[in-house]
Amino acid sequence: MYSQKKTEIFWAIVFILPAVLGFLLWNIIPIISSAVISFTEYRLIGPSIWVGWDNYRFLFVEDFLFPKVIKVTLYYSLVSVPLKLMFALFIAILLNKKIKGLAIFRTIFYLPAIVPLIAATILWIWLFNPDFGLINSFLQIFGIAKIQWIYGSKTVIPSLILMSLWDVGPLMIIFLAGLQGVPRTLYEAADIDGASNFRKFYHVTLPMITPTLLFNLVITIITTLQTFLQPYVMTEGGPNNESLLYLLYLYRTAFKDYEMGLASAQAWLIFIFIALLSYIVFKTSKYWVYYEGK
Amino acid sequence: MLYKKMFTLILILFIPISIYAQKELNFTYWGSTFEKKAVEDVIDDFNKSHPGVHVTAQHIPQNYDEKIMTMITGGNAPDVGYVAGDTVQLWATQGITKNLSPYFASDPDLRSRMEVSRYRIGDGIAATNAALESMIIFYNKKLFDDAGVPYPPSKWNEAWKWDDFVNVAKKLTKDKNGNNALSPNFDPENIDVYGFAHDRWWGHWMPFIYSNGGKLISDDGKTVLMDQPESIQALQKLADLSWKHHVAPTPASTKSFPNNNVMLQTGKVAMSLNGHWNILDISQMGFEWGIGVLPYHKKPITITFGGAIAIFSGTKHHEEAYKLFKFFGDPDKNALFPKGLWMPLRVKDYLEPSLTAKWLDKIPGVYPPESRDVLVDYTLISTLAHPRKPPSYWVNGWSKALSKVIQPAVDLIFTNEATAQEAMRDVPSKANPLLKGRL
Repeated sequence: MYSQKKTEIFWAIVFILPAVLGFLLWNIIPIISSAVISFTEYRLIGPSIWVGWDNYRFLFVEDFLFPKVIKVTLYYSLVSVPLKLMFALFIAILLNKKIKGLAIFRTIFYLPAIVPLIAATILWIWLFNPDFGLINSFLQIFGIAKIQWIYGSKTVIPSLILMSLWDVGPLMIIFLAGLQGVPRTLYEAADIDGASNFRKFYHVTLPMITPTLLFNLVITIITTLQTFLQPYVMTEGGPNNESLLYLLYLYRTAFKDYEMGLASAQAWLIFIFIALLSYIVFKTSKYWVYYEGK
Repeated sequence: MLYKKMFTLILILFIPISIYAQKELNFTYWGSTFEKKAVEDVIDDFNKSHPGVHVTAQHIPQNYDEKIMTMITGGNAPDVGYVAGDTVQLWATQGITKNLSPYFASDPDLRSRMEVSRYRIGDGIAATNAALESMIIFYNKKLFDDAGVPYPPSKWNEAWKWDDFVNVAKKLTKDKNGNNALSPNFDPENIDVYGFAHDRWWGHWMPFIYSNGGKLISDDGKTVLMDQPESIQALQKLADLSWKHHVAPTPASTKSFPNNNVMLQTGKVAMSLNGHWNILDISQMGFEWGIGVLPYHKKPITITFGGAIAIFSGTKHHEEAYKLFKFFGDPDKNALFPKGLWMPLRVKDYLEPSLTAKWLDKIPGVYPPESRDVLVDYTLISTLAHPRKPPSYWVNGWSKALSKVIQPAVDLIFTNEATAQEAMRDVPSKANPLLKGRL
């Protein structure tokens, strides 16, 4: 009996080991070493020099680009996150109605999510072309003057936000699942009380889907703050660094300037910022998220 | 029986030894699928003509620097390979690439590689260009014929003055109703064909600053001089092409679509400023095209530059690595030269007609007839009489200053959000601290 248990434990460890080792080797150790590296000057080749808080001090005091990068990233995120959520919810509500060709519409709105991001991004470069692009050609019909889109320093972030709205498929699907979970009986009761569509949405739908909303909010905040590919492919951070989002700047520091210490410091700052933001969202969620079970 | 066994055993033992005795080299490079094919051919030829040496070509199309860094950190450095122009100085100062000065001292053929192609670090030479590349004008002949305008000049001493060039570009620019940019009825909001196209990358604006007698940076490599009148004037005139004269689309990133070659082919653009290496693509696009020299302000010159090729310090086979390095830059052996992607590095490949023919005439239909003016004479004038090395060759910290400060400021001019004067005002104060002098 005893030895059988021992064998079981042995095999349990053997089976768990790959996952644990993988987690240690590919996650924990790199995370810890990046924390250490962030206090050094390290260029991949050659010695690493301990510089204490210098990298962090450089970012906050000396680097003239860092404040701009933060400003640009916050601008993008603060506008993009709520717009994406509202847009996804709006479409989800529409697609929750019983209309003809529902499956087709749902597919159409989800389709962008299965297009590889890089392909979609290149498609949008075409659309945004100021001189030959489809969007400007269309606007021209109404006599609207050329817009520079991703090539103008004031229009580049709004353009990227516009583009991000195109890709709300996954958020929409989750909202849709949440909407389907709202009990019919509540709507029937509201109908009997003579509630308008808006009141039904505000007093029934919205409270019932707040758990879904919370999930989508956290996910969207995290992914939006880490947007990288779109500015990397479309604008290279330009014009005038107006689309130099945080992760693109980090990438440049690490793989163009080879300042691994500085890049690690940047990585830790965004990590702490996202962790803090998520913490705040979760902490405040008890005031606005409604769980039916409770 | 025993002998037979012994013999087999020795044979088995010997096989790995004989393979080991063959000198294995690793060559790393980037480039299009076309370039990949050509490089593989060069390497094959090298392997055939050098018994006992075996070179493996490793194609790294994306994130080249990261990959090489990882290979070096892992103790797996290549022997010979491409190095991005912006990276040479970093790798040379870290001792990743080998100092080539001893070879330059002993090999006159290597010494004949143009001075402008050498990446110097202090007293040493870290690399040379893999090939020479220059900025020229490509044009669509049909659009010129339709407008009744003579083709862009191909001789350097007949180059257009800037204002003449603008005038020609205006004649070629047409709105949707067919009016050209000189017509009083011209509608700049509805342009169908542009006279000219360029983009925001430094290769497209640097030549005009030099042509206007300007400098990007002081000779000690510590002060940006782009706030000086010569630079400002040249940049402003480039931006005016889009915003004042309406003869060019807003210069966008090189990653824009459709790219300027396609616009040239489809007749949406009459002249396109671009690197000579586009001859490879354009010669296969099936339209009537030609090349010409750049318009100028004060001096009719262009710039030359090129990605670097270097020998890595970690190589175990110094002699073979050097042979490979040389083999690669020989226009007679490397098909990238006759196919229009690369121009030679040695002065004699330009000066001696028999050698010039080896890259210009080897494959008919690649280089147009005017190449002897545009690619040979014009290149010689620009590299020998008025040599200008882009700052990436000799200024420590240039690439950082360019990406963080200078290019963003140039963007503002090209999008008409600031005049050249306004955009350049703060550039030196921000960029100078990033510069660390001559290499």
